[in-house]
Amino acid sequence: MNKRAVIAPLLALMLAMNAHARTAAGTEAELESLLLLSMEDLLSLKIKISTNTAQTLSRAPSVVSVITAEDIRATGATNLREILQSVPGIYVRANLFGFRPQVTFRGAAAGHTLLMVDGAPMRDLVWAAGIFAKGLPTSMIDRIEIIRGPGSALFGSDASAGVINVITRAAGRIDKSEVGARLGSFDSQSGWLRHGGNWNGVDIGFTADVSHTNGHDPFIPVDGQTASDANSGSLISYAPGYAGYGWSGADLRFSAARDSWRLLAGHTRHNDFEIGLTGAAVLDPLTRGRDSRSDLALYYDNDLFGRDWGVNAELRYYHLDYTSGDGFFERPAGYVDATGTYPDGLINRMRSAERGFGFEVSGQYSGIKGHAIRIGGGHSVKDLYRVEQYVNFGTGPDGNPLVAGSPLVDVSDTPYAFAPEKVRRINHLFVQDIWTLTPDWELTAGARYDHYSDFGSTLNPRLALVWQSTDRLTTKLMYGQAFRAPSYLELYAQTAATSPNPDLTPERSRTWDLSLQYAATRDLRLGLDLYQFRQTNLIAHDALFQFQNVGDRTSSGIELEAQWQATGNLRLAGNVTRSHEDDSVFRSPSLPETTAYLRADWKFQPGWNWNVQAHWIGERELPPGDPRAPLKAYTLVDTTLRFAPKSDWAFAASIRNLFNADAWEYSSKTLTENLPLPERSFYFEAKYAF
Amino acid sequence: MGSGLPGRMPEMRYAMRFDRAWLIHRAAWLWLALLGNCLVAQADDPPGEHAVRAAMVFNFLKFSELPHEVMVGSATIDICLAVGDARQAEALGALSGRKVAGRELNVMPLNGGGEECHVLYVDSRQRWNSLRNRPRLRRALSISAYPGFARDGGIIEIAVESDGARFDINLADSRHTGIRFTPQMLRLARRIYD
Repeated sequence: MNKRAVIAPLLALMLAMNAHARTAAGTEAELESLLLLSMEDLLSLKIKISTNTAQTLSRAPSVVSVITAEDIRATGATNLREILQSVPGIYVRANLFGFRPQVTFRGAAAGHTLLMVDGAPMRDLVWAAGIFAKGLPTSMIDRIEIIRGPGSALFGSDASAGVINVITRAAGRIDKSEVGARLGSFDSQSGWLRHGGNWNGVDIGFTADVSHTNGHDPFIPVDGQTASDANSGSLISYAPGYAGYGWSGADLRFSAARDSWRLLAGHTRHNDFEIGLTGAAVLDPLTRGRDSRSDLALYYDNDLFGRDWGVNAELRYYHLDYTSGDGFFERPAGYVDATGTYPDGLINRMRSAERGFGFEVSGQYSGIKGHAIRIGGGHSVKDLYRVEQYVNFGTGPDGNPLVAGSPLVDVSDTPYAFAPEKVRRINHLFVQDIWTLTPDWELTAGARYDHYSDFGSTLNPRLALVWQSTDRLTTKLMYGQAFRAPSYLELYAQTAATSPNPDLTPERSRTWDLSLQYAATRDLRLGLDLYQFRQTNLIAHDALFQFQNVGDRTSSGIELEAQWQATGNLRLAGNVTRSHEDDSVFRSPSLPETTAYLRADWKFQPGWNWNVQAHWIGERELPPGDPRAPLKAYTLVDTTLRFAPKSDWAFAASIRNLFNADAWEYSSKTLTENLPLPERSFYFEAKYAF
Repeated sequence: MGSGLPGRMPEMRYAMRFDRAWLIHRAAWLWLALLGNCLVAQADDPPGEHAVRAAMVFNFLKFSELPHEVMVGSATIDICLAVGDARQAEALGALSGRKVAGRELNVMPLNGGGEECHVLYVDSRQRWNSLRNRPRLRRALSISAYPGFARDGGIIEIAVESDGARFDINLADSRHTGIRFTPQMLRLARRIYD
């Protein structure tokens, strides 16, 4: 055996014992000496701020990042998707269908990311992350909490690779009222309003954000229809042409809070949503989709409910509605296949609506010295109660193929609709114990049991050992299991591309993390995370295009990050991530193995802040069967200059893709040049606080 | 629907590989180096923020006069903690047994007893909002280090920064509780809300 391999752990053990002895005895002695000082002397002392003053962050039994509203404001980010990519391990991939942001962690598919807003999962039964998802406007965000790694032991399904919880600006967290407006490239406009106050002892909060953009509309020289035209002799493709990615959005939120009670209500919608390209990479300039989502939640949080007991409870309701408008135009007018000509093209008009109700109650018991035990459970009902579909191709309501030239026929409420109207019920129980072994050692053990009415049960444990090695160094070793519930699409929905399988079981994962957080000096903080992430039971379609639980994949990687307050006015931050995949064929295609991020914030004059950030995305392989060269690495540089001459007014100007880098996203084999990312663009913002 | 729903695609092998053993080995040595650096550096470090906050609480009690009708007959000053941070709780707990104006300090978790608290140390706005109207805390000297505590109706707000500690006093609300402060303490306060 390598001698150094033996020496290292021994040395570590000795240092660890020494460190523990010093910190335990140190607190008492330190206090003793401070109590001898006069008040004046005490106030004049230099003080060592703990490595992580936000204790919940550093000692949290997970790899956690937090993005604050101030972080967001400095970068000029207008949407959640723009700021997430600053987090190590996250890659936001643009989908050709609607240029939707798909948030991926550590090389896993986007379905293994759980996105929540104020703790409410944004997933839906059919499309998982929403068919017209566009992220969230930053004006309503107070902070974003991000867990890299598994979270199913706390949050249930989808929390396999990472968890994002967006905390909105709600009652009690809005100091001032504010109005703002922003204009920019691609005919982008947005405006927002924020108000907070107190009414008869009740904290009130209200935010509203409306926006519109024409999108960057990339030029597509050849699309999925071009090859069909060559075969059939038709000339119906919209290519060469532009993929329209315009949309309008609105986000409204109201909140009220008093004592232990909080009420949150939210409504968000997208209108005139242009999809640009269909899933088959065919230009579709006609579709105008829309969706809406409403949420209502009531929380009761009382950490001091009774002797040794804290209680948290929540009631939730949501409703969402998707419609393709006049229909997805899967193929242009005049489309020809073996059965004949479709004068109106292939039209797929869809609408679905879903509602859900749920509650969760948990208690935290601290009556056993050194233990914080949390136990709880809940129930939720998700009801896909409306599925409407009209098609002029494929299978008709009687099960027979529709002939070319058929008018639109209604296949709603038949086995041939894209999904069944169906209810899913979920019961869950969880328990977790945070055991403070010593003031510096903490062991977290927990598990959550979920029972789904449609596919059965799953149990997901986690363990985390956190050692505050010294005031400057925190060491964490973590293990967790997680799952992703099969979607209705995979279980029940017959599509043009895939067949369902009602016997599917959840996708599963196991993750090991080793994390070090180190404060080299008061102004320099470093982080290192090593992980191994193994997924099993992955769902993929077989040779007959039916979904099956067939895949496994393992990835491991390293994430390095640093934050440096170089001077009183200059702050630098950055990270580098590197991952390695095993030989599995089930890795999500075209995610980068290596990424890097660098950010600088310079307050060069009172009231001024200049932010520059650079994202470097490494080379990306293409899936097997795609003969093209790998996608080249690219660097996007964004910059924002902010000026706040008074506390009430603030102005900002941003340039995105400052150097007009030639950046591409993988899309489809049939798009010869893949999907171009936006070129250089400009934004201006003004806001007034009162 | 055919739109936007590509199936999972198979993947190519990667030519480039990690040497995992190499990586773990280097990480172990890096960790050792960091640990060693921390321990060496600790010897000259200034006092920690948790201990400073605890010492400030002790000093506040020396320079405050708690309501006579609340303290009469009590041999102890009961300090109740509503704190999630184990290190802060430990530092404040170390005040137990010390004496101020002849009364022994008795530090306990808030939900650990039913008697009236003479002092409340709370660590977050959320906790304060859920506690502030409790009868057993109505006359307590409330102390916190979260920003905005004094504006939220708390009595003493501590601000600990690397270049020193400060505190604000909410004199208006302290009058309702009957708590009084010495001129020396008022002179040292960064801000007084009156």
